Amino acid sequence: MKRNRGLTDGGRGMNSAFDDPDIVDLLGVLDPGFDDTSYWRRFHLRVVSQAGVELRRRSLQHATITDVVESWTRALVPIVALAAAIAGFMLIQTRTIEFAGPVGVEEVLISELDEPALPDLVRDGAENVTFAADVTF
Amino acid sequence: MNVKAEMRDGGLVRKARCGDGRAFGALVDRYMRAAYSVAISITRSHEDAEDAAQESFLVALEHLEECRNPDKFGGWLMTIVRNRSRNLVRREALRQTDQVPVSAQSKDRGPDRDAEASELRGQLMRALEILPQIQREIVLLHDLEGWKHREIAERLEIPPGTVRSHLHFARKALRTTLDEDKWLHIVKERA
Repeated sequence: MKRNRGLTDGGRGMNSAFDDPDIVDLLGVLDPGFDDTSYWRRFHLRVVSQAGVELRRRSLQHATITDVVESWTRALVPIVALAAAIAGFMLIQTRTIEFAGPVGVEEVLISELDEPALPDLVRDGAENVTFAADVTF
Repeated sequence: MNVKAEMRDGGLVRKARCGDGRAFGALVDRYMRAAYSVAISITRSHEDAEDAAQESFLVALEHLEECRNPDKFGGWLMTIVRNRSRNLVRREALRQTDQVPVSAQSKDRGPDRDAEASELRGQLMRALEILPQIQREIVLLHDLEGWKHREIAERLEIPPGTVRSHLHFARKALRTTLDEDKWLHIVKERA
């Protein structure tokens, strides 16, 4: 028979002189957990689940301004971090300039190109590129 | 080991007041058996004792601010259990329904279909009925729930000597009423 523990030490040593094992054994039958081992677990779950509404009400009632700010911060920090990461990634992506093909000298003269574009003008196989210095007047 | 299980009542009550579910759960775990024992000593029916004990925890939670000494939560809770149980008994009496014998109730619930255990429950309840309420409560808290004299004395707010004396007379009466030898070997076999 499963015996319940006392509040403080889980044993009954201090009362041993006053114990009456026969009566203890007989009364044990009145424990609903005597032949239903999960009885007390179910009892506990039932009470705690029924108390849920009241416990939530109490936790809301006792929430301080700091608690509210903290709870906002908890939600806000990951979102801000994610947004910053996405923004940084997009910034890096847009800095990579791609050119469709070789650029003619006239175009270079009449339009402004970004600095990174210039090496493309002199790369191998750029047949159509004519530099102003090569032109004889 | 769960820290909350070792915390004193006062600490758990203060946390439960702020809506800490685990603290409240620890209080339920600590006192559910005692609450049931006190309830059954008054209602003498499993179903009513179960209802009274469960309701008492919910009432206690709603009125936790009224527990002036959180370290004595156990005694305060037992007062609620006693009141709820008496109300239930009164309501039952008003309804004037026939009291279902304990043995029959036991057969209907859960896996408990053992005829001998049911019969013993019936005998025990009849034997307990003869005792005064205070003796019933003390013998159940001590011999069923394992509370110490000191704990019972603190929670019922009576001297430890009175607890011992009530316990002595309660056991003597139970021994006289019960056919002890017949039942003891059955219980020991099951154990």
